[in-house]
Amino acid sequence: MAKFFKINLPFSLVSLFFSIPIIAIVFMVFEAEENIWPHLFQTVFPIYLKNSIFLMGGVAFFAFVFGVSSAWIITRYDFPTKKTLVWTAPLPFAFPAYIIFYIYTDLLEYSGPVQSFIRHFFNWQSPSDYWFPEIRSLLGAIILFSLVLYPYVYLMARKAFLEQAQSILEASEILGLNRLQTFYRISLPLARPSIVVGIILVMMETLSDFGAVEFFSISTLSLGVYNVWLNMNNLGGAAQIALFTLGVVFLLIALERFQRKQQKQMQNENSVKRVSRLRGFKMILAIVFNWSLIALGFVVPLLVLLKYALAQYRSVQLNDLFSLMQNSFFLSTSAVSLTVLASLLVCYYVRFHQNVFIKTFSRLFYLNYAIPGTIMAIGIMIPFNFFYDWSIDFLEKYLFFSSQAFIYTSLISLILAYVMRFVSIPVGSIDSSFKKTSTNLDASASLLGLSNFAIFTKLHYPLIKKAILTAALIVFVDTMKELPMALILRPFNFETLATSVYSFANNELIEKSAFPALFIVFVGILPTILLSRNISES
Amino acid sequence: MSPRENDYLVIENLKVVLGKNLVLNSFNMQIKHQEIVSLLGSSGCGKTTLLKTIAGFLPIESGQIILKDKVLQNVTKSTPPFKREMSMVFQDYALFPHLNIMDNIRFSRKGFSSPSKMELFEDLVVGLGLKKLLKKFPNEISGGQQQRVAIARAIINKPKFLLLDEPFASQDLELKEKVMDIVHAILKRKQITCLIATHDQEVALKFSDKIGVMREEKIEQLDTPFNVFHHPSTYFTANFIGEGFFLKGDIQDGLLITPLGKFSNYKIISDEKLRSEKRLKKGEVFFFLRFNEIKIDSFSGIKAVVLKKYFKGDSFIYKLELSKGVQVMSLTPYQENFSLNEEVGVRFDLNKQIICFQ
Repeated sequence: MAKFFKINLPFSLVSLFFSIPIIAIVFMVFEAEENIWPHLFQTVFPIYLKNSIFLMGGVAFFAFVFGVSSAWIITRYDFPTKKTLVWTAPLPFAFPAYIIFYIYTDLLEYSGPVQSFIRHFFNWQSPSDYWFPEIRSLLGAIILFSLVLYPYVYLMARKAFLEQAQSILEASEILGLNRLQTFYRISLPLARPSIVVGIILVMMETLSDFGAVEFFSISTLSLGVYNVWLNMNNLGGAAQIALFTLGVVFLLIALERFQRKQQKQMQNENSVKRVSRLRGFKMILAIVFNWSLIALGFVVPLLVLLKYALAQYRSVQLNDLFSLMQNSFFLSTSAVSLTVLASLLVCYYVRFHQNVFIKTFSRLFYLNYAIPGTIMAIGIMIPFNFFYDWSIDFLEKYLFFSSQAFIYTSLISLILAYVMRFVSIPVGSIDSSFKKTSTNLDASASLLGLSNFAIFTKLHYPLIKKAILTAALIVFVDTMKELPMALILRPFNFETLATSVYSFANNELIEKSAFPALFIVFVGILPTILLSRNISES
Repeated sequence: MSPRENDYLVIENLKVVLGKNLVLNSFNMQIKHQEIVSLLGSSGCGKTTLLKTIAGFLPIESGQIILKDKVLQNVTKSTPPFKREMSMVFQDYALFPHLNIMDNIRFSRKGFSSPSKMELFEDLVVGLGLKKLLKKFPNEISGGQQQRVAIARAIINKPKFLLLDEPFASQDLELKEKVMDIVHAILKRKQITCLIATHDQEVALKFSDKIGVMREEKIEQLDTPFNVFHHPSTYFTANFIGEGFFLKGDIQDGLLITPLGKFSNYKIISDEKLRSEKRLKKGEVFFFLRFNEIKIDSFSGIKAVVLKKYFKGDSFIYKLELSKGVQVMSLTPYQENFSLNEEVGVRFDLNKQIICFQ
């Protein structure tokens, strides 16, 4: 019994520490001074819920159509530019949704260049002379979200299509089904679990978005938490909406887990794929379809940003820009170092103490990634309010400075929020890399006389190095473009690249956000290409 | 009637290149209607490639494939696989993991309502021992069972031509014979023409009407199992089929002179590849003997020493060295148990024509 506690207690305490945001929200819901559920139900909650459902459903639909079609065409057919498409298809991933929203609004609204050109070309004078779709609408948001999030579905679907044994597809064809019928009856059902995982990720990203929906004034659950908390000054109410949202998120996670289990059953060995050469109209259609997605989700917004940057480059304050980059870089590197370190410790502990208890608790590390940023911010803020009071006393008493106390506690809370939210990325990456390495290797190395440290440096590190680097890169980019947590938890007057883009855009100064936005996008390109290449190579 | 009219599947001058590898070259083959033909050859000789080419999955560089007088594929045109009305059992079975066994077997573009199909379904399911597995999924059954499902799925639609790639490789010894018997009976009853790729000589010899021995992109010999075994047309075929060995001999004054004696009943087969590979002198030949044609006989005047022995259950295979340093192999009943280095008498027990290659 003592041994059981010795092994499991430290790990469960660490796991529970990483669950503090969820525990804090549950605590706050039950500790709320007033029960505002009835009020919320009568007023804003049905709108939050309806918008969230429509938004998630719409984005899921379009992401499915874009992602699956693109993955199928690129995997199964050969046509000019296909080789370039293989690694460029997921590039829209590099754009945070809020930047795409700012750019397309600027492009497509009444005073934007597109409508101005149309009016000029047809000599129309006022809005009543013609009809143009309203970009700041639910449908507009659905399309724009789909353009940046479809790569989730594309990558999952492409991986699944690549993993389907060639012989299974050939068996279907020799049994009389043509390529399209084979797609519907074999490839699509086999790839379904992977595609559903991709769609769930898209839905979770949509649900947790803050910057984009706020810009379009679409009241979703995530925005609702923010509004109820900061605009209505009701933390308890915000916690209640947050808990409901978490329920939705956990439902999606459960569905995702189930699909991942199914996914393993549907996987086959990799085999060389027979691709058909497209000709004529079909070839043109394939090229136009795939490149249109990249053009709309990446090239057009990038060109617009470059144009803004060119217009702004004389007036750009290099010191300000450098300060923004410094702040973002500091936050990102801190988050990367801490998440990787925590993940290594967690994964090592799980590897050497494999029991049901530890396996169950290790799942807690994966939950936080799905928690929307606004909710995570509340979950961190609640316990930090207690810590804040204590830290002021401590700093004044022992270190004799109080003015900086807020800055430090606030920065610590923001980094901690990043670590808690993004720790699942390196944990997942290192853990799956460890799982591919038999524990017999450790035993053999140990029998050959290697110390535990030598086993890590000579055996484990070379094997998990790639996983660590990939995860570190993803965490770096994710923290770099993260918006709601930075907005809520940052110290006063502390701006990051993402928050400055947000501030400029909200003040209708989108052109001024060009440089920080471009920096975020360029940083995001590298892991996107890396992911795409990993899938193709694997 | 030209030979073409008698043939059901005709492959002419086929050339297939995969990547940079020439896999089939100047490949010719004819199969008659209702015939079961096995392709025998070592791994990588192109058996599976040939099957996949016939099925329509691979492009060809030259030549043509004709089925029932209709050109299925040549350099300019290719009937897509789904229009060829063929079926195939893949080496990895290729069962659809998302469908249960029943749906896998009934998977087809065509309907599944005709009484004859229902009857065939029953025959296959009962005969191949799949009755209790119909509701299960492929990952819930063994490799051998999966292979039988794949066979049933391929036969159920009564294809014009059936391609089987190592179809009995995963069956355990006990079931293999039974499965082979049932499949053979159904193929004959339903008049299905079939081509099998296998490296299992037992399957090829027992199951087929004809065997095609493949070597280096081509068919070396296409003949009945009996002829391929007893009248090999090339050095390679003789060496490849069954257990045997070659000895060098000389033809002098119409006699075959060998370390085992002189023989007059022999036949010389000209083998260009052998001549170029072995650089035989004038009159020199290689003659072929099976292990069971060398008998250990204590009364024989020809003496040999036991170099090695291999236990085969009901028999021993002895590697023996004759006085002149010539080594021979002998298949001997298990009761005749000799020790290593023991001297034994050897008799050449041959009542047939000796096949020599030159």
